Amino acid sequence: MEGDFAIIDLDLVMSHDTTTPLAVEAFNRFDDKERKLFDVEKIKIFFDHVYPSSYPSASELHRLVYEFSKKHGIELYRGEGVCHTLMIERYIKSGMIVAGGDSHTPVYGVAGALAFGMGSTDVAACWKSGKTWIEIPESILIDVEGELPRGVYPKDVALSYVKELTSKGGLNRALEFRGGALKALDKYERMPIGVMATEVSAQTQIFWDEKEGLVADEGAEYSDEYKLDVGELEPLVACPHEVDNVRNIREVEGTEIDQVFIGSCTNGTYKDLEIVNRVLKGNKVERDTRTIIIPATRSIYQQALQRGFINNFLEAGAMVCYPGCGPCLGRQQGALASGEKCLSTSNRNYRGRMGSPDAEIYLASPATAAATAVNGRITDPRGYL
Amino acid sequence: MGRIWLFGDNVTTDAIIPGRRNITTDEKELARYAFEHARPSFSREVRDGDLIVAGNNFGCGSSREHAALAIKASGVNHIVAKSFALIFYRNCINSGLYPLKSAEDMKLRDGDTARVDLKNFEFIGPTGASYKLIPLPPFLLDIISEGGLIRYLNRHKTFRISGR
Repeated sequence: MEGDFAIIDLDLVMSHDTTTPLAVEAFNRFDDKERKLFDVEKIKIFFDHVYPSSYPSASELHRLVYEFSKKHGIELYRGEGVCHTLMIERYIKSGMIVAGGDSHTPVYGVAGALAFGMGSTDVAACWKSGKTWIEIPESILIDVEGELPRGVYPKDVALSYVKELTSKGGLNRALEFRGGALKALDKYERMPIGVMATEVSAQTQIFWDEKEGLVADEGAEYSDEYKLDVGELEPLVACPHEVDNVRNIREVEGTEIDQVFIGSCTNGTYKDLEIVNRVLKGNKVERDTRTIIIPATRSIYQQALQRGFINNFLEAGAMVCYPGCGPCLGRQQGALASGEKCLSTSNRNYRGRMGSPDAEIYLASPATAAATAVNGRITDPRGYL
Repeated sequence: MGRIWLFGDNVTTDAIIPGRRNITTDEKELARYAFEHARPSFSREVRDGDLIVAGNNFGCGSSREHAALAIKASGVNHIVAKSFALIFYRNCINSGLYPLKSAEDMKLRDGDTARVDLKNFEFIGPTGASYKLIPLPPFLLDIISEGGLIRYLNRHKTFRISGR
């Protein structure tokens, strides 16, 4: 029952190059004879946050994790893409229970898994025991009905519920998404909605899916219920410096933008790039607006290459970088200078997140980002689609 | 007694330590950059035994354990907040840093001195006024008082849940 502690058995344990080094150090503090993994097949490690590294100190940590993985035979992905998108591409199955050393781990609920984010020491304990503790959360039901209008995308749906719930509105609760508007979305299209559950401070989230036999218990109780009718939704933008500072695009249209970033676990999938391609093909990005596009994984990159998207992006004057988290967390490409404004498809616009604390970050859909890149100013994508 | 560092709602782990500083696991190095933008004077002026007092959802955002480590290595042992984001809360417990939830509104100013009485779960303010804290569940208190999760598991081998 809500508020009780429970011990859960894990099907997979994920971590990445920011959280794993401290997990390795924690694991090495277990007594000698205790230093064993519960099941090496169920442990996955990804280098994506700062890889390939631009800092010798980060490279030392990569080596630490590499040597640890090699010693124990753990599968290690280096530079193949963003951990969450790769996990969903390759491993996540409906009904799984997953722990991950990353706050956006709950996104696996888009594919029917129940997933929990945690820090490094908890990851080390998961590696050893295959178990973790949770405090059973209350649930919030979010019913998403209607048909998305042209130019309005799942990211706009996500920003719409973030605005409604606010940054602390889902504190430590579980979000349960259901409704007609979600049925048409595949697991990749659902990702922005799933990722942003973390931005209302939810503990986890899941998409109910009758086709998969995933339905809530009869008579399930909710601490809150929200109904979103997306039929009238317009493109939205999260404005500096809080994710819940969400405005209609008309309120910020025309704001000059120094950098556009398209990618991340939130919006770096093939379908996202397909939308970006529709806007950028045959167009040029504004020359004063640095435009960085990062396919979330290697296979997405390859599909985008085969379909000619990458060439269209390059012809438009955008930079296309190797798969990974990119500028999202301010450690790789595209650090912002003071006074600069960035429009990003990622998930956080905190002060200082992507570089200078005196920079400003706006969050929006890939369509809005691409239209903004062409114009150099925040632009309603509906004129470009 | 320690100085109170007062914060508001929704303090993110990015505010506690920016992402670009998380390229080391050296706690002392992390402490140098604690609250570097949010409170530039913090790392210079913080002393052993100081306390952080905050509003709702302290430690929200990124799962980076560096945030808990940076605070702990600054000499702070207790954070008192109206509520905590769960991952940060767990990171505190695992690192031996006490995340304490306040049970009532506290009238405090930044820079006041105060202390925490863990036996009675009370927060003792500068005038001697005491405020109730919500007791940590015994299961989590065990982990924290035994020096964090790794020491706890070395000793008990498994989680020992005892009630809420």
